[in-house]
Amino acid sequence: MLKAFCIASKRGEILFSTIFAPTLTKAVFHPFLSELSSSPHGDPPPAFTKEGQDYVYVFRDDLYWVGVVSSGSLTHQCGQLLITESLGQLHRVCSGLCGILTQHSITANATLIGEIVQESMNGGFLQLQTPDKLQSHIYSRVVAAKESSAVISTPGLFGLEKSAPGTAAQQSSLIVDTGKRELYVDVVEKVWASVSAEGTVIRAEVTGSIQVRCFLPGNPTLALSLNTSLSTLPQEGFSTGTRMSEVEFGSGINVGDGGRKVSVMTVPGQEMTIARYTLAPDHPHLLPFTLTGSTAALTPSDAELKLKLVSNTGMGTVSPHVTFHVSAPPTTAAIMSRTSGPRDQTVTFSPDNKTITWTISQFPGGSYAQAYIRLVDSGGNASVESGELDFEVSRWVCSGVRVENVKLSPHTEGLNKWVRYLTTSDSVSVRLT
Amino acid sequence: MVPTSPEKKQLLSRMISGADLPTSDVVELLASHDTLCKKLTCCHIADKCHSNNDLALLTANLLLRDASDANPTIRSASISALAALPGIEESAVRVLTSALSDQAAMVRRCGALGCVKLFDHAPEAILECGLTDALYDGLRDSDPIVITNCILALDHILQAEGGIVVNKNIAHYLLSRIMQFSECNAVYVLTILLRYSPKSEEELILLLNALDELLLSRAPAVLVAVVKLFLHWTQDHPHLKKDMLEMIQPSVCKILSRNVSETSCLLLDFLSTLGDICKVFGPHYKYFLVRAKDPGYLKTQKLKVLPLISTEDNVCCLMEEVKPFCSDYQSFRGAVSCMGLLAKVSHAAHNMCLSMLVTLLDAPAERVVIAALECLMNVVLSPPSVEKNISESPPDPVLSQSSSLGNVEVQNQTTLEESLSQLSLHTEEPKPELKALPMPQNELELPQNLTDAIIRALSHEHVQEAAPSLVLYVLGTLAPYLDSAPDILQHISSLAFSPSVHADLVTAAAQIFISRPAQTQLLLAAILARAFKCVGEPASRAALIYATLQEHPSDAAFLLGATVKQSLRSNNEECQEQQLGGSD
Repeated sequence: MLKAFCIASKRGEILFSTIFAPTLTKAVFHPFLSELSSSPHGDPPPAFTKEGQDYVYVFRDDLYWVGVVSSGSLTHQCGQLLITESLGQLHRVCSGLCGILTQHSITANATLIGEIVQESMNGGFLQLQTPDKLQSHIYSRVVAAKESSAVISTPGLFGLEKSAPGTAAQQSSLIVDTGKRELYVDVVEKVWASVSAEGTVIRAEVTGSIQVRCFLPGNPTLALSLNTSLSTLPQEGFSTGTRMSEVEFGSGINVGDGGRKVSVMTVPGQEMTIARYTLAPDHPHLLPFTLTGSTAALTPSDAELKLKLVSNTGMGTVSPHVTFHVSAPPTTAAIMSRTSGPRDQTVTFSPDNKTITWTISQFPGGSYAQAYIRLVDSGGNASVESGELDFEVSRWVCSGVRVENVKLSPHTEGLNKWVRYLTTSDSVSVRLT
Repeated sequence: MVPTSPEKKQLLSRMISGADLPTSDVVELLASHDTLCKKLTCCHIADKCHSNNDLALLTANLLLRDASDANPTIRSASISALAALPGIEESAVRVLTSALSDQAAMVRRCGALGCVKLFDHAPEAILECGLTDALYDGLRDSDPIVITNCILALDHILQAEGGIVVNKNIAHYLLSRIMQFSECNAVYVLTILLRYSPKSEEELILLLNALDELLLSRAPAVLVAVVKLFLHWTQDHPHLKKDMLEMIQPSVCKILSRNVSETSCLLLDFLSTLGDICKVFGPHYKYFLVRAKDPGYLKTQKLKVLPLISTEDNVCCLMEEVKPFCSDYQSFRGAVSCMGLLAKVSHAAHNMCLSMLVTLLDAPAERVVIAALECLMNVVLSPPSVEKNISESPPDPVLSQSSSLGNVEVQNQTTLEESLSQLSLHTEEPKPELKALPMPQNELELPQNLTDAIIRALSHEHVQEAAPSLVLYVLGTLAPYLDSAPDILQHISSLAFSPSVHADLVTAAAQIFISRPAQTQLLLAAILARAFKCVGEPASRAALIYATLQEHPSDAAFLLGATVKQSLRSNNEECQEQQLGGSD
């Protein structure tokens, strides 16, 4: 069984805690917090022992969800994977019911979270249930924390989905009856790619998912029709050319028309995955950006790195944030740079680990940006091998999947329907030589 | 739901945060009709009753009344609270017994866990009143969560006797229903089934068939539990392991591709304990690759597991993928030692590793250079074998990530002492038998750019100061290939160091002398003389070396574990004998 549970912030504050074993106090978390602050290379492993206590934690939404396990119990024998999975599910439930999970919302909704924890960790014994079943046992009300307006995003602006672009909407499912009537359909894709110097893609894996979140009372049936069919079979005739190697539909989804139409019965406030797919390796991958670079010698001691980043996403799309990290040659002392293209660009150099970071904010689709970076003292024939590209692009997906039609039956008046597309990078490395 | 007044809300939030409330407030909250108030208050009472004695007395009646309320939520909340209150054991037992046979599943669940709470403060009550039998009956309930709660309760209560007893009936019954259990509950069931062993072959086959469907599960905790159970039951049939690995391979790859850091880390940790997984997982290596955005612990874990899935086909791709991480400040140690292990797989990998080491040895940060030197020794001393099997490779210097220096010293010392202990035993025989010491191959070929890079790396003052033992070890072992070894040795001998490093200095000097007697003669003499003046280990090491060179000059090279190039061997021995005669 778990002896204690807490939610801690990155600064080491405990935002919420429950102690199940009567002999313990909040001091049981202090070894964990000291381990967090003292770890030199990032976070400690998900399960570790310190000062005689076994800690297991997950890191979600910038918060640490920590459990202290009592050794020798059956839960301990089941292994740490059970606890990490359960903590992850607890986080999903809490974020579904609380809306946004931030430090303010947790402290404001302590009662609600306390009730959820009680239901799912009854006295320290983990018994997680699916969110919809759990919701029927929750009696607390959610308190919308008053945040700064920068965080509350209108669905038209993107890039404000922080670390988990999968969450469709930032509303709590507990206020379905009284909140706005809204429906969100999100198509989110993650790109993991390796690109060579000429721009050819060496290895790429694009995984995508279509998620739906519906804030309507009752259980109306939602029908989506797409511009391409979600299936692994090759399509005949004219098609968008989207080829998928794996398609996995969520539970309770009815698939029709060879994968072009899907329908599902919605549950108020719950996020449902319609499908998860992976693009086939021979899909004509159009990565959202093409990066080319070259190094040339300016003087015998300095080299210049020229980088050009072209956006392939077309007009109307925007990337709120694009970053390119590259390791400078070992002897580089400093850099001087100039950029052209979008207004908000910065090039910074970190002397400790010799990394150059080129950041572009609000990069409009279809344009290009250039940076000329002078590497001081790097040697005339220095070269830069490869770098990492991080981006988020809204209103565009690699696969070209488009949701053409969204229908609810029975028909609901005054419904706001939002369809959002987002592509994020999950490790895109570009070789420059 | 009746809206709660602001004062009540405040009291509730204080309760949740664990503060102590005056008893009168608690009683008032308990008496309210609001379900939420009652739930939270009951929970609070259960927590605080041990420190607050009045609480039990004043609330017992209210709770007993609520235990037969119409609303199952209220019933279960009050039952949980009652079970924790001291002083009312008989009523508590009565209430729990009726709870375990209640109509609502929620109440039965709480009843089972309530037994745990009662046991914690009044163990005799449970054991005497036959609640354990009621819990055993609960194992046949229709609701899966009730079953798991009964299991948890029984395990806790019977902990003194070794936990719940799983006999054949229970095992078969639970397995037959296991597909109805959700992920978390299934794991509990699978874990307690580890305590049961099938008695006959047919029974084993039946049980394994029941597990088949679970092996395809996509839930990581369930998958790991099933694999553990499978391996436990098939201990006598190791050939089934490969089939099982093939069955779980798609699920494992799917779980890894979702890239949840904690899950991937723990799953990879589990995979590394499964033994030989390279044949099954080798072709799917792309799921095991390190990504730049992974947290530090995940990168380290993946770099540990990558050598386990390397085969001749994929090792070059793996090396290309690991290369960029060798200069990453978080994970360079793991990356470099991973490269070292991968280099053993094939000759192509070996050569790739050596060429990559050339770049690394020139890195500006001395920690990277040190890691590269360790990897170099690892790679050079155990060249690749044709059939790759990492687990069977010869015992190389085990280079841990935290302190390799200690291990290197130990390695050096044990080699020397082993050889010298043989010396004392076999003084009679002119040629002692060749024991299996980790001797480098005579045909070692090091490319010129690598030797240049090694010399550059070893000449750095920072490296010499940061890792003197390692530098001396490299100097000594690779002496025939490093032309300026005596110069570096001279430079090091002018630095200040601890006794153990001094002893290593003496060893290294001897090893370099064996391959380059003319250049090192005077230096060796000076070092030996200095060592004799120090008390302790350096002096004893120096004495041993002096004795070796005196008495067994022809076998000195072998005994001192020095590398000697084949063609020069005979020349060296002649030179040695002349020099020793001269320098005495």
